[in-house]
Amino acid sequence: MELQTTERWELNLPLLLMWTAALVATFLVLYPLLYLIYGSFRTSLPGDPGALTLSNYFAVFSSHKIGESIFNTLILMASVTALACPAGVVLVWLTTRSDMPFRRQLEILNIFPFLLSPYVTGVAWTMLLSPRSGLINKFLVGTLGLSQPPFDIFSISGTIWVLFFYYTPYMCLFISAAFKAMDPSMEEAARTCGSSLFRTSWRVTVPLATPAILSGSILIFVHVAGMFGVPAALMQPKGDYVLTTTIVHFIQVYPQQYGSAAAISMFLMMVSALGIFIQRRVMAGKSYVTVTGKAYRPRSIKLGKWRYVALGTNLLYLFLSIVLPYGTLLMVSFLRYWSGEVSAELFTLSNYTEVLLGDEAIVRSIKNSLFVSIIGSFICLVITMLVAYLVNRTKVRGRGFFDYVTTLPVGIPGMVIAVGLLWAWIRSPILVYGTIWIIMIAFITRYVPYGMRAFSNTLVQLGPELEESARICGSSWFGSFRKILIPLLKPGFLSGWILLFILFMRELSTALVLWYSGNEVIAVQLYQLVRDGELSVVAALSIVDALIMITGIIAFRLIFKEDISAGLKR
Amino acid sequence: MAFLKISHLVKKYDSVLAVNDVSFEAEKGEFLTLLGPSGCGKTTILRCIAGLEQPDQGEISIGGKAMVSSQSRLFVEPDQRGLGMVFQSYAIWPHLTVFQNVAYPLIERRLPKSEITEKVRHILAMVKLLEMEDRSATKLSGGQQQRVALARALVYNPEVLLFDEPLSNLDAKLRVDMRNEIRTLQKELRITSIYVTHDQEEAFALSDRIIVMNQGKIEQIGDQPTLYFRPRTRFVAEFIGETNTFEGEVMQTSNSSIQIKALSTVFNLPASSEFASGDRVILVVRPEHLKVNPKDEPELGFQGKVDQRQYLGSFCKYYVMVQGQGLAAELRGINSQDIPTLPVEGDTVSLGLNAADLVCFKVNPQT
Repeated sequence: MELQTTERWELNLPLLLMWTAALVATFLVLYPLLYLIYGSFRTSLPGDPGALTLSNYFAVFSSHKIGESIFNTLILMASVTALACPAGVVLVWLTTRSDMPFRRQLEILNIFPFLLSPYVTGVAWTMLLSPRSGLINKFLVGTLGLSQPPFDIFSISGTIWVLFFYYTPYMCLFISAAFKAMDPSMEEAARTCGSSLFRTSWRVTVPLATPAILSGSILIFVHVAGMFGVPAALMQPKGDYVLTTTIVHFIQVYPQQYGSAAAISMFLMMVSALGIFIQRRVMAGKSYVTVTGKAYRPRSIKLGKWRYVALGTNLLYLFLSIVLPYGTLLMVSFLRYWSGEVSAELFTLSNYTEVLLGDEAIVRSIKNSLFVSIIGSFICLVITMLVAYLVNRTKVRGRGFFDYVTTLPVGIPGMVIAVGLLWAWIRSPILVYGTIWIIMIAFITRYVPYGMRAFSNTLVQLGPELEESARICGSSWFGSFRKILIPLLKPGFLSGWILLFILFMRELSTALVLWYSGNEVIAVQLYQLVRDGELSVVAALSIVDALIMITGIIAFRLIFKEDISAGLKR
Repeated sequence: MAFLKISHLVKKYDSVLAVNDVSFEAEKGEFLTLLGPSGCGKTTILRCIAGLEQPDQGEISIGGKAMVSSQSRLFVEPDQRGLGMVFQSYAIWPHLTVFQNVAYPLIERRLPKSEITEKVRHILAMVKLLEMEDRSATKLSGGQQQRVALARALVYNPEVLLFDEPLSNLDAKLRVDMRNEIRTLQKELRITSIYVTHDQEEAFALSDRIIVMNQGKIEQIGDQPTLYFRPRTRFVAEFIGETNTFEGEVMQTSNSSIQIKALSTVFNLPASSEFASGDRVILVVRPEHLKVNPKDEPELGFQGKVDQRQYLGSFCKYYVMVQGQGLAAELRGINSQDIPTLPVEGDTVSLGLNAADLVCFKVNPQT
């Protein structure tokens, strides 16, 4: 039998594919970043006559308004983190360590709000807590005879309220793995020393999860800085700005001030990058939680008479975060118009017909969303799967660089990537700007780190020996990749796909910066409609949007028998 | 004629020399073990044989066919080498059943279905897993997974079988059982086997010959009695079994003997050209060769005080302080009526040994 041999540098197809993916990923991430940095130092767009300057930065940082928006942003960051962190810990503790009834179902439900669009939730809350037309306000004024409506959602505290419900599940996602993976002997040792079950939880269990809690808090802190939708809906009407709404303002104002937008984006990026850097340092080497090989059976703490209080609290949380806002949206979607009145004579289906059939722009936005979300997420996963393989399984020199580059977007808010892309493509002879493709590029770039992390974790967990044994048994590299690795990566790929589908569907700030007539996605369309005051159409479109996502999840489950919760656990 | 030939193998990781000019040969049908502590290079050598690593220098050939040659820039891919390998983590594919796992290499070789079924069933019967053939691979215990791995490696009659510490993840009793099964199978099938382990007892139980390695180099190659009674380096002496080690100095040499002073005693050992007068030496003796209060006159003897006595059932372990040095001695063949007369802690005892049981090494600045 002729023995096949390989020269070390022989070019083979699989390696070529991986290199292509790695170079594409690098281009996707670095091209807008470099342009952003360049653009922030320029007086006008590339291609137009202009000069390098620091004037953008001067203009931005000497502006009184910018100072205010930085201050507002900081308040948001601090307050939301301070509230979401303990709320998340309590919820996770209740669902993983106590004997609260229905805790297994609640564990999944508590994470559910993460999938909803925070912007839409914010809009829904205006229908409830707007000073004049908010249903709750009117109810309270009516029944309690107040002279003034007690709540005004159009404020910083209103924004904090809505963001609290969005980020608490974020925190839950982060720390639930840490709580569930704890070595029971740590708590048992405390019990042996005489500590009661409850005190053990407080003094042993929670502190053991400190790295995860700290890590989650820092990430939330940083993430809030990049949040656009809710501050846009709830603070902008009163003229209060945060950094993200300021960036959009500079892009949408006439004449556009792209330079200023770039300068603020740079600042935002620095803040985020610093946060991620600190988070990495905190996590490095500080894993108190030991994951043992033994099957961990958590010993539930008996709440006794507090069981039902706990259940009630959790249910109240779910009611406030999901049922109330979306129930209101559902109701309003059937009204002819929204002005605070709910009456049978306003009932209509016209909103739905307009959304699904009538309005050309809206129908187009639905098609655009589906196109970008289904195809874009798939492309993102294929690219990251190949790059993750290159980084984790090959001995290619320089693979650490690709690992680093594909993780960069974590520290960069989507909006900042979008501003960079704007700068990169707006004067390019290749027609990308203004098309749906730049939206897809932006989304893929933003979510590259998700895919990388998921596949890298899986590859590390699987270990190289599964493919090595296939090679020894007689498979070529490609054969072992196809027959062994792909089937094992499939569950992760599929759950990643459905997760990214949902995240793409709800992405707003990135799409808004790159918005051009014709490339709207649903999120941008909603934003326009809110600005135009067509709230009942907004409600109908939001419900349709939510239905698309739910249908997607169910269809996915039926076709592939995969669960989104698997993807969320990363 | 050697079946497996490794010559001048070198492998570097960054600046660390994991394998430092290693050469050895294995006969057809031989069970050869690479034994050594973690990081000694044994696994790297095994993976080079398998084709999972590429050495920086050296040649490997199996059955006369060259697999790797740095000189002629030859590297045969792992799937073309016709080897079988059992991994430490078993590497059983979780998405396939037991049958599918074992059938995989036969499917790769495009054998007809009926032949595959026959061979798979035959080998599964050999490892006593026939009734599990349709079970999902994830639902097996550690020992069962290990047997599937073994079956999969054997089913296509490889020329050489490689083992990468396959028993480390099993608990003690299972390890011994599996060890015996592997030995039985290998003796029956007469497949040339290269086994890697850090467990000296395992190596001794399984092998025809053992290669002891340390820090990328071969310390000694030999069979069990040679390694046990005639270790050639201090490392081998201390790695294999238990030893007593103490220092000494060469006083005189002559044609018939060398005179050594150690532990305040002067004695003679058979002549050796290795030593010159004035050399510092390390002396090594096994505990079972140090006889406590021997009845007949031994060739050499030391006096000391019993520091600790441990009655271990079939023998008694004595830790005796001789000239400030602790020596371990074993007292075997004890009857229950002897027990009251045995020396206890604090007693002065004499330890006797034969010169032939002492092994002497020159002090190497590097050891």
